[in-house]
Amino acid sequence: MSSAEGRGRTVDEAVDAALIELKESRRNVDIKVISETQEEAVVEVTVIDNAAETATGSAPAPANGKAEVARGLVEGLLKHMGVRAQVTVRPSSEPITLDISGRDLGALIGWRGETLRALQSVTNVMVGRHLAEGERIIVDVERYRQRREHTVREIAMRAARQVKMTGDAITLDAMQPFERRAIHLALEGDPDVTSGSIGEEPERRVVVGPRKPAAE
Amino acid sequence: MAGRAAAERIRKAIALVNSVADGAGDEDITPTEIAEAIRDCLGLGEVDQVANVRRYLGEALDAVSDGMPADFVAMTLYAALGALREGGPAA
Repeated sequence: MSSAEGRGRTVDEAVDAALIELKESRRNVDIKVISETQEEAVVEVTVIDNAAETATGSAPAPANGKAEVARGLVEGLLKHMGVRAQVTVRPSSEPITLDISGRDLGALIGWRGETLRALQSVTNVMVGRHLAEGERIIVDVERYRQRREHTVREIAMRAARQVKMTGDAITLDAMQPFERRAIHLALEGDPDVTSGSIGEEPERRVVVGPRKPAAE
Repeated sequence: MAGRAAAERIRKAIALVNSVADGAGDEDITPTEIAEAIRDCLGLGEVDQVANVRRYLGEALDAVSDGMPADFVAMTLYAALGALREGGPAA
């Protein structure tokens, strides 16, 4: 898995610089913001494209009984649904993540990932007896979930920058729990901003605001 | 789709259940709230106009009461939503 450090005046510029060096597109990479100041942003961009790794003959994912059972069940389910797709176990992922890939899988994702979420629920019910309590299987189609997490993390960074400039809180669009969690995690280390959520599902929204100094 | 209001309420119940399963870490949803959301759906006459919707909602409510995993509850609610989308007449 290759990675590169990118620098720029903004996070976007830094990511672009790293992508040019890696000759990769945004959808195939994981982005970690190392530092961000008024003058410069530094990011680490890591390629996450499994297909490329497989093509170059790297070792397959370590055998994992539960993951293989889940993979087989999802493959069978898709076959019954008449969907032609490949199901693979994402290497070294915790929790176990199944990647579904193929052509024209938009219908499997559905509006705002609704169908994908339903597929994940069904998968967890089917595999449930093989899993320990609290253990879950994540299902991703064409890396939708991962791309969405990257997108919301970028939204979070942008919102944080704006909050720091204006001092005003920003309310983001309604998001799913995994998206909100990605935002909370992205901002938890930022000493200047804080994130919380308001509203009720399915209209629950993240609010990014300035972190108030601790009362003495 | 038949029963737009019912569909919206089922979606809300699904969203609550998914929140429990996915755990954004920014809310604390109790089984009582999920049960209330499902009862809200059952309170609509629309659920009797389409076959199986009331049955699936009832099963989902039982699953919440029995402490079944969130994914099981979600799957049963998806079944209710699916039945509503297909919109076959009630027997």
